[in-house]
Amino acid sequence: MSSARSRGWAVLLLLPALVVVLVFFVYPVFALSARSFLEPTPGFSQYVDLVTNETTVTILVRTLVVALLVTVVTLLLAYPYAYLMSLFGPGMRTFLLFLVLLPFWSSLMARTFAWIVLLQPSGPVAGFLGFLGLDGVKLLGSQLGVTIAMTQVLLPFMVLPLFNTMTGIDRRLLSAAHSMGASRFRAFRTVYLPLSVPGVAAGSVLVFILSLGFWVTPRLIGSPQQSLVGQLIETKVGKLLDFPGAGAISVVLLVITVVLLLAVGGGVRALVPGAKTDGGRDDG
Amino acid sequence: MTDRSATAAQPAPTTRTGGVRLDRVTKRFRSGTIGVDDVSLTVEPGEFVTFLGPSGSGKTTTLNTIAGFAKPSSGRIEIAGADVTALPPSKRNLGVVFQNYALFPHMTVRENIAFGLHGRGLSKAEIGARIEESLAMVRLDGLGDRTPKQISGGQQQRVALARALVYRPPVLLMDEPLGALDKALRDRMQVEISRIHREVGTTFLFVTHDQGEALGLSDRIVLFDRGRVVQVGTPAELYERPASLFAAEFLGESNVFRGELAGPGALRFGEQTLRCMGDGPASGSAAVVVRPERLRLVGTADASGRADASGGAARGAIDPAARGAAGAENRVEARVVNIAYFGAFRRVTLRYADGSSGLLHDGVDAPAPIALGDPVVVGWDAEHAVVVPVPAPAEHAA
Amino acid sequence: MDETTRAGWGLRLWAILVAVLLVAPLLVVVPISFAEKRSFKFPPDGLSVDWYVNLFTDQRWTSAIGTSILVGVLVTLICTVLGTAAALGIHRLGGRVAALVTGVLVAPMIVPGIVSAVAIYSVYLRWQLTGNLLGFLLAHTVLAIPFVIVTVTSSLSTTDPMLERAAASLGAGPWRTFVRVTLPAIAPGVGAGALFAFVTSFDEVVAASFLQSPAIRTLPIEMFVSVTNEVDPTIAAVSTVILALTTAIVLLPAFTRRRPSQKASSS
Repeated sequence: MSSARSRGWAVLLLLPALVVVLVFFVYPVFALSARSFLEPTPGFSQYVDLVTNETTVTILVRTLVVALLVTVVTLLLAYPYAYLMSLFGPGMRTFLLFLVLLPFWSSLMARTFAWIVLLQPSGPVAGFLGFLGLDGVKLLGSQLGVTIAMTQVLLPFMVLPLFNTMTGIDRRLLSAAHSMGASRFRAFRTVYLPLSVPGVAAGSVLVFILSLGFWVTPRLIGSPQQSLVGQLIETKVGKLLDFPGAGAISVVLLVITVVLLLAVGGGVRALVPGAKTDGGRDDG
Repeated sequence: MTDRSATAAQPAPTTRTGGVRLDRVTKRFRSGTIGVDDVSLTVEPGEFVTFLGPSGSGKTTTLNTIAGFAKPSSGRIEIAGADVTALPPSKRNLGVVFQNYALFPHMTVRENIAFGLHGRGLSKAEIGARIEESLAMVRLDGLGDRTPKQISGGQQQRVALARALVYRPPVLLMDEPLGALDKALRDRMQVEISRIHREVGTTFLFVTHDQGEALGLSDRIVLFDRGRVVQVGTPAELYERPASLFAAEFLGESNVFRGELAGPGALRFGEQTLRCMGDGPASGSAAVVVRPERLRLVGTADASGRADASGGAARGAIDPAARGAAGAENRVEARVVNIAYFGAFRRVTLRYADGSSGLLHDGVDAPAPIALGDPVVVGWDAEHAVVVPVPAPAEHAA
Repeated sequence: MDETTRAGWGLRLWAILVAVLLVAPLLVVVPISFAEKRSFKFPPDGLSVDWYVNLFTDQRWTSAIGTSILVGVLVTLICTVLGTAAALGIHRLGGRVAALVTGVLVAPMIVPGIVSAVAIYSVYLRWQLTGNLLGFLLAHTVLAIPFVIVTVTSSLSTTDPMLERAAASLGAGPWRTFVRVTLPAIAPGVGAGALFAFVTSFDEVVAASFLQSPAIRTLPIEMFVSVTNEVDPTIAAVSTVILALTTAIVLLPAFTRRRPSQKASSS
């Protein structure tokens, strides 16, 4: 089956997609990154500028903080929800899944617009806060508003990996723990929680990475004074045509992304022993 | 295209054509492990041959090289007299029944069966007739419009058989086809497979690790171990005359007495000399193999452990004459470790003086009055004892 | 329900809160879309369907809808064909090379959105692929193809590999095996991938905002421009229509599901 001929076929099948992605995606990313090292002169001048420019550093740190905050809040919101989904029977589970998939599949622009309506001065959220006695909190055009909107927009990306992992957990293990005298809390902490870690890791990294590269929501709900890194890159390219500078920040984002993925990739695999073992297969 | 020319002149189903010949077939995997090691084999047309062996012994890999799913690293494969070594599976004109049936889930039973009739130059009417005929053969008339998910495991098995036989291939390959069924259904399907084999006259090659299936179905058994063929013979030959300790222990249960050979048909076991069939090796380390149903209780031993065959009768414990054991040529002391009731017989687990354990099948008509812990004497006739060589300890550990 | 499957009230309350948070913000666009006045005031003062009329008559909006559908359909076709072929190739190839190729092909899904967009823009600008249909097609194709690869690959990995062997043993050549056995088996994955590709393209804002020109805008870009420059409840009407279509898409599988045993076979 794995003859040279069938390998030839396999290569032929994947070649068109590979060429398209290499030429129209990988090359642009590579070229942009390369410019950060080559212009205006070969070297690390772009990176020196980057770390010495206070505004840039502030924006990078702010972006990391917001991304972390969004990740933690979505995890706190999503974990119990996904847990409950995995507990329920098919009917209720489908309904809860529908509630996640609806925003997941909905237009990002539509959802961001909805948040503009919600967060506008004298809008519903401001009204609610006023009812609680919190008057005059600035939502639209503030970091708080951006964080709230991003949390809601990215929530499905946390629920889905968690749910996927949790449906794969054998609940009889909890019964076993109870039978050995563990309390509900102890059984959860010592059995369920460790088994759900791959889902937590996958969801967290996904949400964190998406937060880092988010542009639309901060751009429309935030303010230029409190911009995130996406807006910084856009400004450099759109207004200043500073591609090398944008490339340098891009490289920083790429490195963070790759490191996170490698860390979780290795971590998840280490947590699931024997999930995938390759090798000569002979069942005879 | 090629399929058509190969099958246009298909003979009537009862004509027995289509043997299989393997000539020094070796399969080395990319990882370097050897799946099949220099296997040569001839299967006669119409024969029912079983490849038996533990998992990893190379039996499925050998079947895969015949089917064309695995390309042998060296060697030659002939089907019905033609060299097929270089042909892809689709050009070999074989029937294959897979372990989990591999029925196409999106097709009905009828469409599954019809799949293999495509491109064989048959008219629509002929195809329809063939399908009905094979549905009838596997006793599934009326279920043609169901999908595989709508029928039971046993019925899926029958569809797989019908699908693989409907275009009348000269050879049918089956890879552990009964593995997914429960015990009762397995027994029923064994009978069915035997019947179908008699009806169609096709050569059947059947892979299993279940000795019961191998003994019950086969004309001949090919026993595999670690990629090699270690013995070929009829079920009776393999059971009565195992050629190796592996054969004796894999096929059926045995009492194994290890010792040194002291000439043809004589094995030194402790202080005793055991008499056995003299056609094995004459010197070196060896073992005498005796099947549990050939072993008989011939007496009890006294507390000091000395054999006391005659005294046993005096105490009324065991009457060897009544048990037809008077002539037992070999006698060995043992201790009863366990007694289990199996309906047709009692299975007595024994511990011999050298520490090895053994089994004895005791008839239920006149059960011997023995209890756990009793010292007993067991005996057997030389003609039921086979000598096999004992492999060196290191090799045996593997 | 035994001890281990009982959900406490705290948990239920929390889940209800999350459910509201997931869906409620989507729904505020509906009342706005029926507003009488040009305002985002919530709830609106009077009711009208003016903004829907505007959406389907204003040439600015209709041409954006047309562009988005055209780009979306073409991208879906390209991605489905190329992505399915690539997934099949990867599946057959196996090993390290396949893992490497997969890594390259799903990279657009992993690279942060703004980085992809700026990188694409910087090179497409030189290649004169900005402000025209081809640029949109290429950018959206590379951004959407990972979804097809992922869904088809996962379909392939859950398909019984013995089915193809069975087809071969029954005399079927590679093409007949593919058309009659493999393709039907992976059809759900191909369908899901195609849907993902269309939605990805139809929804894409970031790269499109760099590649657009006033002459060629997709619907999300028109929405972006509208919400940045003016107060026009037409965007609420667009959002409501999209929300309705999304609901239909998400509910579709629930009504057309013919194989309830999907879960049984995968567990």
